Amino acid sequence: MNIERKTEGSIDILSLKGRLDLASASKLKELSRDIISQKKCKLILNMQNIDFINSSGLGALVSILKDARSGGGEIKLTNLAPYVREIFDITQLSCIFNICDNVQEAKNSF
Amino acid sequence: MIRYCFTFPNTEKAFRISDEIFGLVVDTVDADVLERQRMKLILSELFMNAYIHGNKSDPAKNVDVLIEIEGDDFTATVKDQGEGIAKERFKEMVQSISNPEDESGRGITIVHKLSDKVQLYKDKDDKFCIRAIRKIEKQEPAAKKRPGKRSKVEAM
Repeated sequence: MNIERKTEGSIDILSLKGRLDLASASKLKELSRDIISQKKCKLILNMQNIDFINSSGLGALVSILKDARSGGGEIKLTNLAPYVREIFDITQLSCIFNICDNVQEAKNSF
Repeated sequence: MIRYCFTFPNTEKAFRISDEIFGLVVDTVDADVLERQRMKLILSELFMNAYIHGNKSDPAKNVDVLIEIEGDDFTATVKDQGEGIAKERFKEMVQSISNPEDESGRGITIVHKLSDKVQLYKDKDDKFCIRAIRKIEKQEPAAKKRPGKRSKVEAM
């Protein structure tokens, strides 16, 4: 999985590309660490180019969410493909994540 | 009927390779992208369950995978060398997600939700098998979903 980081003011945006699975979950957690360790972080995970996600990838996202919350931070997910959205609904993750249609909407919602 | 049989060593490297192989197999099925993703996910989760929970990440063990495609029926059977899951325990696992904030424990629930039928059994070699059967939805509009569908669990 490739991860591109962009910072716009107080907001960090990670654009994920490829597969979010057992092999890449730790990479995402590692790269997110310095962002979510900041107090009151504002992080957008752009999922537009994720072509596969499984339960390991979902577990990584939950871990990042919990770590961010513990520091008073916020995370928004954007651009979920129908397949990814379906998995979020099945696993009830739609209830705990703030999901936006696109990055702009996510930026406006902080 | 088209059948694909694989035996993988129980390693993380094999897990990564298996996902690529499953992708190539499923891409031959006449179905839209969303439906193919569901089939790939069933295979991925079954393999991961066998690798981590069944074989306890023991590299001396193997994971056997059988993929069968017959008409509209997609069947994935994954065998491991672990003790298996009791039918009642499996039912408890898939009845509900106790806490969406748990970082693990979603794999089998995903398989259950995406399958029309799930069978658990020991084969003649005493390997524990999970078989997931899904009716392939062809030319399905992306908006039409059936995530709430629940499969039946059978012990053989």
